[in-house]
Amino acid sequence: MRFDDRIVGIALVLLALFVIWQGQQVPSVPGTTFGPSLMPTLLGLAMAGCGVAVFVGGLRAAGQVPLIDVSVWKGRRRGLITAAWSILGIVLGIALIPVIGFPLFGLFYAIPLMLLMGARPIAAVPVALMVVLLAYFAFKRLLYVPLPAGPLTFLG
Amino acid sequence: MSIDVLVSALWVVLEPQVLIVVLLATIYGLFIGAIPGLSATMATALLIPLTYYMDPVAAIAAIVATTAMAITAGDIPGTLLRIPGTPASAAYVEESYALNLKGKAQLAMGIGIFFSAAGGLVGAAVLLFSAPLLARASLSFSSFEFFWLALLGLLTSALVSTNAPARGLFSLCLGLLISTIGLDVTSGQPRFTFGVIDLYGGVSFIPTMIGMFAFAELLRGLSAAGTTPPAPARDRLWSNPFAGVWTVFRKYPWSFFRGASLGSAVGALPGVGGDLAAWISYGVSKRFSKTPEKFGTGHEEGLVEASSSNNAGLSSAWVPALVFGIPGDAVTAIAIGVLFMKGLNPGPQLFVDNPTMLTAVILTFALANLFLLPIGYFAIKGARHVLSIPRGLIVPTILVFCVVGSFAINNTLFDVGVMLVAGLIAYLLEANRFPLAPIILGLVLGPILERNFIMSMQIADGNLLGFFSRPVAAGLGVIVFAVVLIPLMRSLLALTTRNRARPRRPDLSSSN
Repeated sequence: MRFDDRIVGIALVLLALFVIWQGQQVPSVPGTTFGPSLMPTLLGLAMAGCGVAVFVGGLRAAGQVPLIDVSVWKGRRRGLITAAWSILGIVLGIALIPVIGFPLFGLFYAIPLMLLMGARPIAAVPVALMVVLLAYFAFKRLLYVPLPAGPLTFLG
Repeated sequence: MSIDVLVSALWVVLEPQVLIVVLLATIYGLFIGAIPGLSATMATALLIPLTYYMDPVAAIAAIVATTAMAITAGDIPGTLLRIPGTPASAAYVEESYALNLKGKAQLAMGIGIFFSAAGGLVGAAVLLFSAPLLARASLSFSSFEFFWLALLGLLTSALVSTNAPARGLFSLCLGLLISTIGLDVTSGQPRFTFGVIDLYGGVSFIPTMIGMFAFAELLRGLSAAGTTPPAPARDRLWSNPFAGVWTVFRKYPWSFFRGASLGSAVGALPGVGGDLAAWISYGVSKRFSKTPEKFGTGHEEGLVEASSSNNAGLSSAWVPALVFGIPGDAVTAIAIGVLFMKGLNPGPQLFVDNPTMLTAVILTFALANLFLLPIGYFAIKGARHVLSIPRGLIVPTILVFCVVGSFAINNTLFDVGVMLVAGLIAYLLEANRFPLAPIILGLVLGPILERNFIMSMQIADGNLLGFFSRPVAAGLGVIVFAVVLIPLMRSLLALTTRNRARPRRPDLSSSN
């Protein structure tokens, strides 16, 4: 997804202004001249400069490119759905992993992705099961990462 | 460096744990590098959660071995499918593919692996001997020199490695900005935390990395911007993958030496890294060749020079990283981040405090490059099998590991969210032609830059001329200004000449 450089430039300048404003809110330490607000302020100024440069570059190309170019996703409905699930699945995972545990989440996330990407169910289900169990045991048993088991308490 | 240090470092490197780690990392790097669309940086980012649980030498050995193999294995899809596995392979992909069309795919891949390993060994030797000398020279550096060095590394990566300086600079500022999130180390004041407790410790480096280099890359692969590799053609079973390589070496020894030395030199420049070395070497090879007209038609000469340069640059990119703590590219930035997490602060002092460990780290480069030969042998033999694994199974597998890897560092789902947000931002930035490497460099170097900047400002009492008060600092300062001003003047010059020649005619390919 690509935006016209004028839009990008404006977005960068707005972000820069926000950074400068937030930087000014950081209280300084008494007795020092150069405190924690200096770096964010300088960065904000530099970012604003970059934003202006991108905007000016965009003026020169005005009308040549669409305001928002989504052509890379055109005719890629399946790709788009896969991308949407790869994002949404993680959002759901953040909410659900404490309840359903990692192994169930892994299957619930990976199997639809594999099917959407053209894998046959006969391959997708066993491969997903293997990958999820491998990840779970490798991290939980070998590296002692406390991945939640959820209802599958027998996995340990 | 004394012999004692070298011998004890050798013992550290030859420990079974390190050897096994290097072997496994090489195999892992082979898979990731050989699959088109998965880059060496992605391989490294996904590996970091595991290195968290290793000793420093083993951790760095894993990173080095993975990167070296992933970049070398990037030649495999380049040769067979004309899809470079990694950006470094893109320099000579036409050449190796043309060799494939001539029925010499095996020779092209054999050259790639043999000369990568040989070039990598030269780079490792350069690193072994130059790093301690440079470190000794830089022991007297103060905050002024370190500030300039950090800035030089950051600006070079932001301005030189992209043709759109404003975008490179923005990426860099964004990385530096992310590094300021959390409690300020000197004053203890929270910055950009917006009351979120999880942000007080700062944005975790590993989930950010995984999001930017793995998740974003996979998203891009789902759109038309990604590449869908065709199935590799089947032909005869291959015999010895290295047959004919020695003849090529005897034919073009100078190409090898020139490539390896140029790669070592270019890679060692702060902020440049290894990718650029392959491009420059390929160009140099063509210019000095007796038969430049053969380039691009399946000629071994450029391939020899560029692949030697490739891995030599990869090793020597660690010179500024280990000596000054200033990484040259995304991979060294990740590695420096790992060393910081392990409580080791790369810089000249580390060469004094712990020379054995550092020498051992450097020796792992030689080890990793030696491992390239046997693993590469099997890689060429099994190349087709790696390429024929369905993408529909690989991508979801990597996504599952993105989630686990992000969770594993702090055992919190908040970091999984950080990974997701970093991935989405990186996707948008890359789609809008913003480079990602400067963000990572900014993220890693941000605290160093800020600390040395604030300290220098305090010492100089706000007088900016103080930054030029010491000879080395002044020299570095002048170089930094040149790095900033040259692209700026070039852009302005291009703008004025174009305006004069063709008023009001936009040029989409121009830099800004």
